[in-house]
Amino acid sequence: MHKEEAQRRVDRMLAFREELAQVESEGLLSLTEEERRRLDTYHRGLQNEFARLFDIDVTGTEKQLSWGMRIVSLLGALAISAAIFFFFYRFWGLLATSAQVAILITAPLLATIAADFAARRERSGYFTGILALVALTCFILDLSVIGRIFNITPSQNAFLAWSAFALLLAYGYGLRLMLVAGMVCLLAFLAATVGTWSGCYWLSFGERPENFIVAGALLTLVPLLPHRRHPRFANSYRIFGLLTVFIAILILANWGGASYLAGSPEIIEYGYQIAGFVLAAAVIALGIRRRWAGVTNLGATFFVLYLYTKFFDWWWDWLPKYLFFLLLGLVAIGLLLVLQRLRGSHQGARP
Amino acid sequence: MKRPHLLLALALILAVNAFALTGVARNRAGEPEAAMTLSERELWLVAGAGLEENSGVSLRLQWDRHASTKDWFNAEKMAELGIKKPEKPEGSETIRWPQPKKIFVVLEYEGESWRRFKEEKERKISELNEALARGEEREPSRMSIDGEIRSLKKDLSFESRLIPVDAGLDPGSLRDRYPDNRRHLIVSALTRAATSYVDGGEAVKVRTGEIDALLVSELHVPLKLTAPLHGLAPSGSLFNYRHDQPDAPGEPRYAVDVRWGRRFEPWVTAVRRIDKEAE
Repeated sequence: MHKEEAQRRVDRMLAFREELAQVESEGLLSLTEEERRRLDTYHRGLQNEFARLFDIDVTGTEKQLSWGMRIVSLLGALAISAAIFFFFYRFWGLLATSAQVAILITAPLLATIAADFAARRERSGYFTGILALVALTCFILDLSVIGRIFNITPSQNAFLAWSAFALLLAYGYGLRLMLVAGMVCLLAFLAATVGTWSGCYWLSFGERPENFIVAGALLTLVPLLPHRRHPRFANSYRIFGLLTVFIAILILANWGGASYLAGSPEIIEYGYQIAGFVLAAAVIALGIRRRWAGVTNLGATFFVLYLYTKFFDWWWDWLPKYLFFLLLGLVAIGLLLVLQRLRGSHQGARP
Repeated sequence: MKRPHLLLALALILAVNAFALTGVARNRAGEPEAAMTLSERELWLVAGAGLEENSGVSLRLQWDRHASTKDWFNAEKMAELGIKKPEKPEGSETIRWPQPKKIFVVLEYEGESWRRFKEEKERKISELNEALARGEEREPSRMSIDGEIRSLKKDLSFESRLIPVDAGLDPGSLRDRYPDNRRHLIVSALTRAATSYVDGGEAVKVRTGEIDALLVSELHVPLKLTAPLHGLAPSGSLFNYRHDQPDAPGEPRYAVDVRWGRRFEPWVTAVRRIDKEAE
């Protein structure tokens, strides 16, 4: 068992106890003293064991505090990373080249060892997360500054190295922040590589959103590989990959001139507008079918966003503003009714 | 092995650094691809020791962006390099702009192109001096004759003498055509079609090919070579808007020995103060 499973189990226990208390207060069911004692002992034993192994949240207050700690640790990690970056740039000119290189290589090594040390000492993972992000910052600083010191021609392969490093730490210590960092770097590498296939220089990869459609689609396929130890990572890949594809389509639906496709930009825009609606609807359906709540919400969000950008194109210039916004509101209510019917039909189908 | 990811992460850091440093060693091994002594005209000081947030010292390679490339960077050359032109599909209102392309450019140092540039400036100065002697005056909205003479003289003293003269996809064949590696420098660059709007902005006309940027344009100066640059203000602050600045330096302040290696990546081997040399 891993931390996420243990947390889910504890959450189920808490929900069960709340529901039991409710049912008992309504007189539908009543446990004997012996049954209650056995249940309490069993649950307490499990909770203590999970808390000892994984540092999970056993009460609602602990959960709230955990969220606070996550946010604080993220901000702390970003601030320390920025501090390292600026500290190095402030003093690197006072060091000989050999000292610069030695520091640049040693810093990520030490930070990685420190992250591992923290992972062995704490169960919560907050300090491990901070140190892992510091290690990634040091590695990014390492390659980018070595590039500057030796006037090396920039290459997209640096993103692949940073991505591999971030993903190693993400999977090794179960860190979602590092997973996000790894995915961002991998996305940059894939998009740049796809960009070079058309003969363009890799640094121009941002000028053609289709590069990101290919890269995002590849990320969406990663969960096809088994993720038994980190089941929540699979969902992160899906959400991140689809988000990338949706944003790229949104840009192309409004800026066809940025496409690789030959032909009139206006026709390309229409094509991507249709593709956006079809994909959003398909993603909603897939999310409902597979019970991927995040995927369904993402599909619904972009469906509405595509719709609103179309309304803006059609009506903004000739409708009074109050009527324009009223129409948006009415469309939102219409969609709400559709989703409500969908929800109702699902509830009806439930045994 | 309990934590393979730790060992893999450490190995990755070491392997990637080893790969990068091996590339640097390979670039610098053997005879340099090119070696030149350039002055502040070609290498602007962009940062100096003492700047608050960045203590590193670097020089930015300048080439003459105003020099005309129409003699050689024509439609034929653009086709040879595979540089696409902007186009406006039929029935569309939008112009489609192609992406820049990586190529290799030959920069000539103090060569024939520079001599032509210099002669043109000197001829213009002489014409303006004659106009001044005749007592001619200009409308207040235009730069004064005096001001233009100052500006042209400063161009002659400070404009980069590195001028693009050719381009290709294969640096080896370019070097065969331009074998003098003390006069002709081969660098990787990004290029695209230079255009101007016609038909009231409705269409574009391709004039020539255009060099967008050099891929390695900033040269790091190692600590052991920075002493001659200490205390110097960044070049940009002195050379920009120079015709309005009577305090701008009269001559370039330093000379730099630079080499380019097998991968066309440069490194600084020496820096000297020009005024000290003169003493």
